Amino acid sequence: MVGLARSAPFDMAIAAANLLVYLYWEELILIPSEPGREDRDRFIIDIPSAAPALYAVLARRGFFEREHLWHYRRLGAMLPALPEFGRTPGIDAPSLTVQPSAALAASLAEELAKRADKPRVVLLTSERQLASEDFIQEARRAGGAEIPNLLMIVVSRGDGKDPASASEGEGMKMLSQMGWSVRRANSEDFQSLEEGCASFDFTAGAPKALFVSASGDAGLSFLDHGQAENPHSLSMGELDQALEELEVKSNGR
Amino acid sequence: MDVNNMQSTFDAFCELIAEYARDDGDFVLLSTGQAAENELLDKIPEGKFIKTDSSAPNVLLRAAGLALAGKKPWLLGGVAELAGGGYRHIREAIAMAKLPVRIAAADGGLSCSSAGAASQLLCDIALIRTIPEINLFVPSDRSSLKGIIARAANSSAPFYMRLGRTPVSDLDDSAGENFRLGGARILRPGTGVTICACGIMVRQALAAGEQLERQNISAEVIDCYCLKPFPEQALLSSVRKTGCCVVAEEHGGAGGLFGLASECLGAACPVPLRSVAAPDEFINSGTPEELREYYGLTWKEIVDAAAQAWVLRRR
Repeated sequence: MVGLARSAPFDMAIAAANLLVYLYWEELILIPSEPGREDRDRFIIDIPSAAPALYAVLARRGFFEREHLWHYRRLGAMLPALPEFGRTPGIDAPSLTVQPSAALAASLAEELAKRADKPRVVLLTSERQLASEDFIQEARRAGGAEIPNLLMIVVSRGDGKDPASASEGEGMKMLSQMGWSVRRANSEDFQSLEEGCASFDFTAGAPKALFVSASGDAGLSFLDHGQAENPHSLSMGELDQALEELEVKSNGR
Repeated sequence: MDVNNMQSTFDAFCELIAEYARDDGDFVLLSTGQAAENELLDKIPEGKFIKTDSSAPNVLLRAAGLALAGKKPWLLGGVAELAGGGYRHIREAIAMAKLPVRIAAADGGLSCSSAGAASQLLCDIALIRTIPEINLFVPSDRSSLKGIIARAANSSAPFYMRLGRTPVSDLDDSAGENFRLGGARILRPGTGVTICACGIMVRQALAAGEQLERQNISAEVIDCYCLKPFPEQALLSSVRKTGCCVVAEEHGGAGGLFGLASECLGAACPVPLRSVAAPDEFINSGTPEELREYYGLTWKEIVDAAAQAWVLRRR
């Protein structure tokens, strides 16, 4: 879909794919046929470039027909470049380009926490966002509040090392000092994600942060040659090659 | 006019909103910054008033989050912070998502002019009106504000309203007025010239109407309290009668009420049109009264503009 739409960059979408699969099949409580249920978990995406992966997951999970994926970013399509609340089924909140959505997610979670079923709010963000002043201000406020049902997943590009980078280590330390419960996991390893989420008590206490390293390795040969660091839309040749390699990989599983 | 009951639209808002807070279960008011300080807000029941020192963008996002949770949040802050600093947040988090967030922007127009040009945003109407899906109001007195709050409280659309600090009395004709989206009220009927005004300038327009009467020019004064959706029919039916129009606003000349009236009249009924507005420059420091005099935002300029437009109209 990103190939046909000639959109770029797509490396973050690839990096977030495993994590989104885990969340939508194993972690989030939701019923695709009832996307407006009050007791559902809410998911907020704060990484605009990961939108294609989210669309693919939502389609596979049954929120809408997979046919829509081929119309991604096209005129009048249901799947615009950025997920739009109220337009795309399964999208629980507006996606922002202007700043991290931490204030929106924390406020939503704080209100939902007053309900008996305490639906969770899961915010997917990148470690890059942690440096924002607005984010720090809101993270400090949320850390001092009772918002047990807020889970912020911070994606950092890495190869599974702990921490994946110096900035990830600093981010974990910062949120921990602000009162957040902080854990770490690897997006390629579902067991580590499961253990990370299971270690949190979503019924009481501080908001939670799960730092997840994602390699973004989809097994595409041309991405292994530094192309992922140089965002560009796929040429028709690369698109054919990508589809072929993904098919081979898929058949091998 | 009831000169014994002078109250700014900002104070009136704080008083009225405290009354609404008691009755509405989904009510919550977030306030940010010094512009939103008012002891009248202390009457709001506990748990329904969140006073914060967070940045305007963060407070706008918090209001959006509350709306997503089913609340009907109100947000009170300064014009410069909310409409200026929070423009993209209003656009992306509130208007695009069509969330029922009501933004009350204090220190509108020249209210905060003693703080200088940086704290003064005289183009908030131009900014907000270009955002799709949002409704835009500029109340001129307590009675119009009361009608607008009642309308906003029962709506599921985003609202922005501009509040001023200058004490004003209620306008007599507003009693029992049914305030609505896309509405305007005719405060003074006339056949010679249409004066379309909003906010604090409505009073100046009425004073100008009295002066023009002495010059045998019958002025029709329209309080354009709703700027978006724009009350086109009210303006067009008046202008078809008078044949000319003056627009008065405490706003820069570009993109505000004059812009709206120009677009409407240019497309449907081109007539001589004059503007009484702030110049295209950064505003000096001073009291609001001094600045209105200095920049020509008084009834005198409205009279001059009306006389010019009246002379140019087709007989």
